[in-house]
Amino acid sequence: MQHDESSNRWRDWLSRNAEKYLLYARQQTRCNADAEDVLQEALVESWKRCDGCEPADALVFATIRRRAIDLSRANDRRGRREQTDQPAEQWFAPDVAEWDTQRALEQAVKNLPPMHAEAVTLKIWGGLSFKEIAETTGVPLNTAASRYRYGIEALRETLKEALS
Amino acid sequence: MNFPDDTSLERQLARMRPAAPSGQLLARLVETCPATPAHDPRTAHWFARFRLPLAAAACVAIGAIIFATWHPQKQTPIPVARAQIFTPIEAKSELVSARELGVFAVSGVKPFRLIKTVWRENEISRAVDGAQLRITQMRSEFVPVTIETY
Repeated sequence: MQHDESSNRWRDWLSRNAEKYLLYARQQTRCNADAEDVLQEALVESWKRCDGCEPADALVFATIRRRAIDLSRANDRRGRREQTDQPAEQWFAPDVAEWDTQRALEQAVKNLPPMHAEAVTLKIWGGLSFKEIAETTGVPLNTAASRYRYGIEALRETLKEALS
Repeated sequence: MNFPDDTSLERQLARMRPAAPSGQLLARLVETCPATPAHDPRTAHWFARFRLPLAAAACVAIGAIIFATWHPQKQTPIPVARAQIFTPIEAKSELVSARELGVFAVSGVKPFRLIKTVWRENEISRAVDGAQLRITQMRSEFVPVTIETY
């Protein structure tokens, strides 16, 4: 009975949040298979750490980040190389009305330097404050804000060229 | 499309919805529903296995505590002073005062002056274990002093 209740809460939480967590996992790993593995492990760990309650976004993002770093190190040790330059996965749900703009934006986000892409992802789609981004990524508040601002500026420049 | 400022770009970015997980991934995630600690099957199994021994051990422990708590306590005997023998080791008398009371003339006896003296007597005794007992007493004396006439 109680297990069913817990299962329902887990399912409900996933349906509301899995998209943004998956996006961040993809941004961190640059590989869909790794992103899915990291996502699963991080969600289970975060859920357990909160003893069955809904974990805070910042905690989940931080766990995804840590798991992605661990996986990256393990992959490096194995000498495995992922093709990360042009990931084939779509990070965003297609929007027919703004197909061109969206494709250009998605590509621009993917091409951002990882630190800037991370800040933009956490702020725009993760809904974190700069303070939470700073805590999640382990940098000072000003650095987190700067990375976001540089990311947005870079996106604007890229799009200006791409769409002109 | 042109983005005149960062705000409009941010709005455009916010309109983009992250792609939903595939059905396969979602099914995988749903299946891995982490059990809450109270319902961890391993915990439940462990508890069921050791339930009776644990209950027995708890009963024994509680019984021991109750026995220790309710055991009639012995009356603490009132300490009796040990009988010790004190042997005097020092006695000292000090003259505190000497006062002449006057000249007394009694029939058949030479007249005499009567002097009252007051003494303080200190006596110190010691027991076998080294304990000391000091007793101070005041003592008065009436001393007749004959008057010699030449």
